[in-house]
Amino acid sequence: MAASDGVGARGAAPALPPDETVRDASPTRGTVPAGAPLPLAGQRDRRRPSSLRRFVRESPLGVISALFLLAAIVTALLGPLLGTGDPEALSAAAMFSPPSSDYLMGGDYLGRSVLARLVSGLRISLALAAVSALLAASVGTFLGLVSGYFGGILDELVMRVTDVLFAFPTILLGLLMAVVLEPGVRGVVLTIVIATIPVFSRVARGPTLAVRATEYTIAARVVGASPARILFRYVLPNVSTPLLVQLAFTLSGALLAEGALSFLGLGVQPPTPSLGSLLRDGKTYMEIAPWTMLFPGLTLALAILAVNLLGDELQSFTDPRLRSR
Amino acid sequence: MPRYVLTRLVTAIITTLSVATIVFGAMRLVPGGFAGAFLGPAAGRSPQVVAAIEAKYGLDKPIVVQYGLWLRNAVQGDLGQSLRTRSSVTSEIVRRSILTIELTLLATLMSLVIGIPAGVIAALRRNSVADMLTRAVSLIGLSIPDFVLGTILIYVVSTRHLGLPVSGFIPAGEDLVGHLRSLVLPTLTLGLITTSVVMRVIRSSVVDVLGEAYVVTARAKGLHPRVVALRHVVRAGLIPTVTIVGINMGYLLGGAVIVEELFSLPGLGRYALTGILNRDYPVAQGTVIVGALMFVFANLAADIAYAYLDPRIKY
Repeated sequence: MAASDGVGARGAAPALPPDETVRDASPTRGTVPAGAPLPLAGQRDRRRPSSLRRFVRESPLGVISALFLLAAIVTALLGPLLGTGDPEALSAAAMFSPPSSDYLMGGDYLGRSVLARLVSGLRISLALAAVSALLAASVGTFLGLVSGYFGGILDELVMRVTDVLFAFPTILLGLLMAVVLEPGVRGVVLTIVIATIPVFSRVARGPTLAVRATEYTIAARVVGASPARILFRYVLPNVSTPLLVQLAFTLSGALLAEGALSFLGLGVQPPTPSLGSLLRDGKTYMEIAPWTMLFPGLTLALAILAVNLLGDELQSFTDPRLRSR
Repeated sequence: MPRYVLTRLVTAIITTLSVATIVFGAMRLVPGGFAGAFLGPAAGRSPQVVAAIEAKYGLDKPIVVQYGLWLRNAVQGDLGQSLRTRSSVTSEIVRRSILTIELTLLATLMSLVIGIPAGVIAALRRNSVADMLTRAVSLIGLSIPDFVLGTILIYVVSTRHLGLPVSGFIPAGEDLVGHLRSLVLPTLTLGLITTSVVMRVIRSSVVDVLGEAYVVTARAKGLHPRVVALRHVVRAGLIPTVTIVGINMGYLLGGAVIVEELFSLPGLGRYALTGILNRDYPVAQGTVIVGALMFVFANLAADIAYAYLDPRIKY
């Protein structure tokens, strides 16, 4: 479990167990049932929608969370076009006004629309989480693949460095970044990336070690395929499933970390809205205007719930050992 | 076994040293320089003053020498002085960590008392209502961030006048009941996520054990299902708890920052946060290192306990 805890387990929130690195080395996509036509490049695309359809059939909860997330992303992206209003527009009349037909989620302490700020904050939080999760995933996966494939001193070095990085709970790392870089967005992204790189490099490394020893990899090497080709064509597809699951958990960890750091005043700085900074603002005035705190808080919790649920469902969908449970 | 403990101990010490080095190095990257931070605002920053201060704190020496001196002091337990209050960082950390440790232990206790029975029952009665409920609660518990939960708790408790203190802290020596009452909400806030983790881990671990050959044997030889469950399944299924408690420590230390800030508790986390927001570098440096140290050693203890409990682990 320690090998694949998200950003989370080390600080912001423990990742969802059980999500160990794949233990068996059997390639998940490489094997073809006897008698089946060889999977040529063109036929891979025909197999993808079928597994998507299977996921839709087997995991209604997963589909609901995916749809919810999609809706959140679309709302965040389209934001201003949806007529939610200007997040910076002030109105004395709307100050602390409870939810009404004009201000669906009420007004905040400056008379700004909570809905408009929520939509804009959601965009910033989602963007920050996505960018940092993807950055961490690419760097971490690369390190894991390379260190697992080449082994030796490089592997030893990468593993020792990740050991040290694992010793920083995420929030502590965030505190450190806030000192060195001044509180702000850069610190948040860097915190999430540094905290998550070791997770991805471990998730990628284990299967790489196993795939390196398989006959088809050895055959590829004998034929003269370059390490880069072997890593990307043979190893990566085998690792992609656990990585995808990990990416989901990392996204929820990243949302959580951004929220926590901004809530503490170390992340996104006012007046820029993010789910965390909105909650921080709302907390101050919650006794007179609870809606300024409730809506951002619930949005964040629901978004994290949806990502976790999706990750969970993906995990049990892709891991046959978990299916029967 | 002693050999395994020794290797793990050495690794933990090396990790701690690396952490300390990284933190020391990071503090030297601070914009404006470490000397600037010591001197504070630009007022009175004449070259002579700067030189005098640098000489006093040894900042004029090469960085390697500074590092050596700092490390020597740190190993001897001297983490320097707060720039604001001039008080010793070490004694502040010691004084404040009592509360943080208490909070961490209470949250751990909550997670074990609720999480273990729930996880075991869910696993033994898979797909029952109790199982569904446990899984739903743990998934939701994992998804509500502590700062959201804490804020909502404060709101509900204070607007509904439920009579629990939502802020501040009474020392145990003054009023033990009041002291515990002041920790109820912080413990709930901090403990929900770890409780959910324990539920999930115990459930899946017990489910794993149920499939083991020796459990099938125990059943086949006609032992009462309850005996099998208690003696063969649950005992083995609880082993991962140790690891989880160790890993949760990392979360709890980070969570302590949030919970202490939220409920205005004078613990280590709040000390770290105020130190950072005030740009009080020795405080920031000391608290981050001590936090990482606690995490590393909690995990070390968990690893050793795990090796001791699970005879299958080779040393």
